[in-house]
Amino acid sequence: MDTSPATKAIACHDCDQLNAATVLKQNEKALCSRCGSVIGRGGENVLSRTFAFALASLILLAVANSFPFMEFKIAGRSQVAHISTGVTQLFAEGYWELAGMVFFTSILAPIVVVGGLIGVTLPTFLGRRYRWMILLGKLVGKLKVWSMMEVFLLGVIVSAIKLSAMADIVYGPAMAAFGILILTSSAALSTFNPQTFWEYMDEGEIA
Amino acid sequence: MTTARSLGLARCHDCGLTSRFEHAPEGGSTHCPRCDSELHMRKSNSLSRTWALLIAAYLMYIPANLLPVSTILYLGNSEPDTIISGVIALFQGGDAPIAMLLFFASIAVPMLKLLTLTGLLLSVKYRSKWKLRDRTQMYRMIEAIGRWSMLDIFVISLLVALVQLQALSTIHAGPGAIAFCAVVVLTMFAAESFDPRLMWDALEEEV
Repeated sequence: MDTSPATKAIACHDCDQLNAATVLKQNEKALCSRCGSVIGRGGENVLSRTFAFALASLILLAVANSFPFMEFKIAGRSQVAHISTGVTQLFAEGYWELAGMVFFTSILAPIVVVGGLIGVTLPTFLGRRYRWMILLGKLVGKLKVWSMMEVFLLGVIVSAIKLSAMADIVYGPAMAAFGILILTSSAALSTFNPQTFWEYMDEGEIA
Repeated sequence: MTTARSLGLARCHDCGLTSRFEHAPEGGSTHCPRCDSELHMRKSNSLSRTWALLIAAYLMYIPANLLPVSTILYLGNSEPDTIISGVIALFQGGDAPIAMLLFFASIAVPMLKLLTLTGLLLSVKYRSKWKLRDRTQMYRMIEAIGRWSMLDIFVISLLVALVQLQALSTIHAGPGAIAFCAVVVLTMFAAESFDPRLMWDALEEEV
C-alpha cells in the first residue's frame, strides 16, 4: 500500500481540508481544523469490547423477536403482539411498503449490523484478516443509519401512552430484552471505531 | 488551508483512507487501495441526485399531510386521522409532552430537512461563502436527526398490531402513512447524496 507522507494525512469528509494525522488517546476526538467536524476518535483495543456488546445484542435480538412483546386488554378481551406483528398485520392489510420498511428498520438492519460487528471483530482475536471482512465493514457503515431500534422503542412509549386511555397495556418478556438490547447495541456501535478496524486490516496480509 | 483535492488526494467514503487519486482513462474508475471502493473527488452527480430526491420528497409531502395515516374504529365510530389532526387531538387530550414529541418528529423535522437541504443546494449553486462552518453543522444535524421521523410509522405499526379487536376497536393504517414514509426515506437518501465539500469548494478558484 502507498504510505507516502501525503497519505498519512486525513482529509475531512465535510470540507476536504487536509489535517495532519495525530495519535489520539482514549476518549479523545480529532476535529477538522477548518470546519470542526469529528475526523477521528481515540481508543485502544476497543474491538474486543465491541465484540462482547454485539454478541450480547445478537442473543437479545433472538429473545426479543421470539417472545410476546405487548398485550392490549379491553373489556375482557386481549390481543398479544410480537415485535413482528405490526409487519405481518400491515402486510395483510395491503400496506406492503410500510410492512417492508418497518421490517427492514426494526428487524433486518439491526440483525445485519449486529451480526456484521461480530463478523469484523471476531477474527481480530486470532489475528486473521479475510476479504469478506472488508465487505462486512462497508455494509455495517452503510446500514447503521437504517437500524432504528431506539426510534422503535420511542414508538412503543408513544403508543402505550396513546392506548392507555382506551385499555390496559401489559408488557411481555420481549419488552425487557428489547430495552436491554437498546443499551447493548448502542454500546456495540459506539465502541466500534471504524478507523481502528481499517487500520487493523492494513497491518497484515489479507486471506 | 490545503484541500485534499488540490494535492490530488481523495478520501474513501467507505473506509476513510486518504489516498492519491489517479485519473482513470475514459470509462475507467479509480479504487481505494485499502478497501477497493470506487474513489471520487466529490460524490458523483451529487447536486442533480440530491435535487431529484428532494423534489420527489416535496411531492410526497403533499399526500403525506392530506391523506389519513390511520383510522380508528372504536365502538362503531370510524375516525380517520392525518398527521396534523393526530397531533392536535393529542394536545386537546392533555398529552402535551407526547404531542410535542410527535409534532417535532413528524412535522418539524421533515419540514426542516426539506427546507435546509433546499437552502444548502441553492448555496452551492450560487457559490456562497457565507457561514460555511454553520452550514456544515446544519448539514450534519439534519443528517443525524432524519431517522427519528420514522417514529410515527412505528407508532402506526404498533397500534395496528395491538388494536385488532374487530367491532370493539380496530386501528387500520391509511395511505398517508405510505407517503409519509416515502418522505422520510427520500430525505434520508437526499441528505446522503449531498456532498458538503461542494459548499467549501466556493473558497477555491473557479476551476
